[in-house]
Amino acid sequence: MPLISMVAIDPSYLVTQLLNGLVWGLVLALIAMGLALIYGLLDIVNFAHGAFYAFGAYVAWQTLLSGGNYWVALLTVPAASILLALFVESTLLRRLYGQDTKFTLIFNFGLMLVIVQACRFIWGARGKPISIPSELAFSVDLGLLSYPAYRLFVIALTSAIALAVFIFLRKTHVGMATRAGIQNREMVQVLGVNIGRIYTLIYAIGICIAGIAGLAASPLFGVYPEMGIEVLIPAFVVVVVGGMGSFHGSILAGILVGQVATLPIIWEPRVAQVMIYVFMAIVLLARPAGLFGELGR
Amino acid sequence: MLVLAIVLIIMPWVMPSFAVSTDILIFGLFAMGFNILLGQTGILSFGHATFFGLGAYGTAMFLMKPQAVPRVPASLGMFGFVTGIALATAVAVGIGALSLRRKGTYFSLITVAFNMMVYFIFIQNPLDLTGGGDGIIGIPTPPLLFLERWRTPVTWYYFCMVFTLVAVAILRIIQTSPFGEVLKGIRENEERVMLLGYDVARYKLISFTLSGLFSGLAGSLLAFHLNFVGYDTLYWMVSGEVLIITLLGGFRTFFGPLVGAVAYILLKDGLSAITENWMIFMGAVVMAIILAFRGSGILEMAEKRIYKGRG
Repeated sequence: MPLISMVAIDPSYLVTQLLNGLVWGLVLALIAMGLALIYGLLDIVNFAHGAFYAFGAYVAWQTLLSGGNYWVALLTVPAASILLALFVESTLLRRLYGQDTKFTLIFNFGLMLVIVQACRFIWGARGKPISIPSELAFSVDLGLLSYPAYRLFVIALTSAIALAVFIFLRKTHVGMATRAGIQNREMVQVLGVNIGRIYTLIYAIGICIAGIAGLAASPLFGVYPEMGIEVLIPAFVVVVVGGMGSFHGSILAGILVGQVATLPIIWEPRVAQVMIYVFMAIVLLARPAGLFGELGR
Repeated sequence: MLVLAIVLIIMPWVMPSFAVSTDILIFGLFAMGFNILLGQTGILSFGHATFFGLGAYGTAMFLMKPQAVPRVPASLGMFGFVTGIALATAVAVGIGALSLRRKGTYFSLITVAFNMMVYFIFIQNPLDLTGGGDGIIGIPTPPLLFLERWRTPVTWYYFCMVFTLVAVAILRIIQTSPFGEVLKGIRENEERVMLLGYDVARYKLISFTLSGLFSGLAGSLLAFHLNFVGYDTLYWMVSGEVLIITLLGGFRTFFGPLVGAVAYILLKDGLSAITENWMIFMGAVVMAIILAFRGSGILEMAEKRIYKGRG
């Protein structure tokens, strides 16, 4: 069956699916990028990362409810995310630096439960729709097909964020200290850099990006308590495939996993959910270190 | 062990109900199996719902899906345990071999990812085997000692208790055996054990498989306990629950997971009556155990108290 239908795919449908895969892949890449940054520098697996993604979407919902629009949410979501991140980092997370990564992972699992359940408590367990901003509620004619403008906007927004982080890491002093810190923490401290501040900054940036990803995704997939975990576990796959300490790896692997998750829908929707895990298994068999990673971390 | 036996015999009479006590046994056993990895070998799996759920499904599919195997006569009901454990163990070998290719935190992430994979497969009802979203209903009581005729919550509890005691005894033997000592060595210093000439990868895989086996046994008991298996048994959150149970009791102690199961099931009972969002308390408890108590659970703290008291 699948083989027969593979022959006769409508090319415009194929391109639509490729673009849908790109949207999902870039959202995953943003989540994975935050995970990679935080893990690389702070040595913490942020199991709560998906919860911050959901939190961002809920803040967007609350903003719209309170009379704001999508563009206001584009300000309130990062602000709220950063505030929450600073609070969590300064009161709780800071005490865990240098501890066994198993412990920090378990701690963040607990944090995830608290955030997700708090969102459920405040905003209810039922899913909420967020409408696409009216300015972007049209389709763009791409010749072969017409594609929703909002999805193109998400592609642009996520790419811009990834590019901004890239420039930050490459061109600023703080970014350089961050990269150096990922390589060798002690040496950076010896050189007189206040690494504690950089920890705080990187954690806040990672969380802020997760919140914005939640905002970007909310008009496409809705807002509901489980949305965090639904993006977190695929993001883990991205991180396993791409290598956790690697910035480039998380972006490329994110885009790749997005395609693996979306393209099979053309032939057999029922296997689509499983494919990324099969893909991960193949990568583990063929290249245990991940496609872009190094063994030993 | 004798103390444990006495405690387990008395326990249901002070608990809210026999069904609750049976839950405690099943989740306690599951957590004991899980703790072979976390407590003894020092590896954090975040995907143990896979083996728990597969134990339950392996039992249910064998007994209730005539198109899979020629219709099983009721007298073979006990064999459901074997198929449940076999399925869980076989998949544990596969997932263990793949996920152990990566160390530390990567390992945890891979196990939770494979957990989701199995969950999605079973929810799709492949070959009409798993019942998809409906699960599998009507699993008969195993016909041992006329249990199917005399099944009451009381006899069923004691039936499960015997299973649990035997399993815990075997776990104790494993823990104190030379094999168990090697696992402890891996936990404390993997490289040293490797330099001593042990095949660490193989020990880890065996440890993972054993852990899956006991989790599967617990899952199999659950299928008989509820007479039902649903896909939510395979949900990744169950992997998180077994971690919470183990932490609560104290993962550095042998009997900790059982103590944790008592605490968890009672807390769950009490809290879920107050609020639908009771997991928020569990999250806070997990954070507190890590932050304030450096990972020590109830039994560990009790032991420390006792040692302090002795001076």
